[in-house]
Amino acid sequence: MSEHRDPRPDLRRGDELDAADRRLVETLREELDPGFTPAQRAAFSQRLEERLAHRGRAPGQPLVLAASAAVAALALWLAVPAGWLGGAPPAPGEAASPGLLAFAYYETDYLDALPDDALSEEFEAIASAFEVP
Amino acid sequence: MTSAAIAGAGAPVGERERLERFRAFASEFQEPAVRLAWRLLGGDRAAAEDVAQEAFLRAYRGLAGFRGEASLRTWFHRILVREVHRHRRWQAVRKIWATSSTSEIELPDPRGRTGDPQLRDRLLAALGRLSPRQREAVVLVHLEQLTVNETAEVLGTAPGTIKTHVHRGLKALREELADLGPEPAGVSP
Repeated sequence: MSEHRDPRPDLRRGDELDAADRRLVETLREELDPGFTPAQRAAFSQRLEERLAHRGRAPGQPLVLAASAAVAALALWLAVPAGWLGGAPPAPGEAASPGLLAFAYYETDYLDALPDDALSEEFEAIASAFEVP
Repeated sequence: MTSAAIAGAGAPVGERERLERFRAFASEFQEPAVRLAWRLLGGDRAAAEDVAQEAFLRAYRGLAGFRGEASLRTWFHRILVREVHRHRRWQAVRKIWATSSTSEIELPDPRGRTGDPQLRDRLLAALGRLSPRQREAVVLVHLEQLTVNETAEVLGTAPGTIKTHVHRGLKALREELADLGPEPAGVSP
């Protein structure tokens, strides 16, 4: 694929590296490559094809998921600001409340099914408290 | 194939044609996508494939809204990195829950591994000790060979911030892997 790439040399990787850093980067690039066997490639393609055929839903997953996600989203949207789920997100290093864990579960698994990103973004801010250091 | 051609910009594109174009894009990008996710997720192949799958599906769903302001590659990387974030967050939640149960610890899937596994594990561990932002910046700039500007676009931050992350990340890696020397020979016994 011929994508437009920024030609400015100062923005290109590796240009500012000395020889030792360049070797380090080369080692990282070469060693940190999982590779793809033909079988793995075929399996990945087939799985993607199946999911595309269902427009992103796992085969057999009922359409009712979207409806239940909407209900869960609405409930959480109301509950989080009201503090019903345990108040503010935990500070870094602090334990999260069960409510927030439940919220994160919904955020990651259910809100993603919603076509509208608005609600998801609302929760994204809160769920970022779970970012792994 | 250009970004506009895949997204169908310029002329109305039917669902079938869009799907065909997307298939071509996915076929070309599947390996780089899994590799990037794998690098950001500490060498967990199964998780990397899951994340890449989700990213492709999201990209497909969002293709109609892609207007070509960014390159398709940058746009897709952004989706993929967001999926990595989502995965890490969910993993963190599971980890917290697991402390009160006896769930087994998930180990990276060794399928497809070649080369020196000890060296690879060590490099992955060193990368894993960077902050998430440093890791992402180093991987995108130096391993995936995006420009600083492209990386800034993918991570939604300023190019100057990316340069700082890359500089600090590389410095930390250099210190941690100093003994690899001019000819990386793996981990000493």
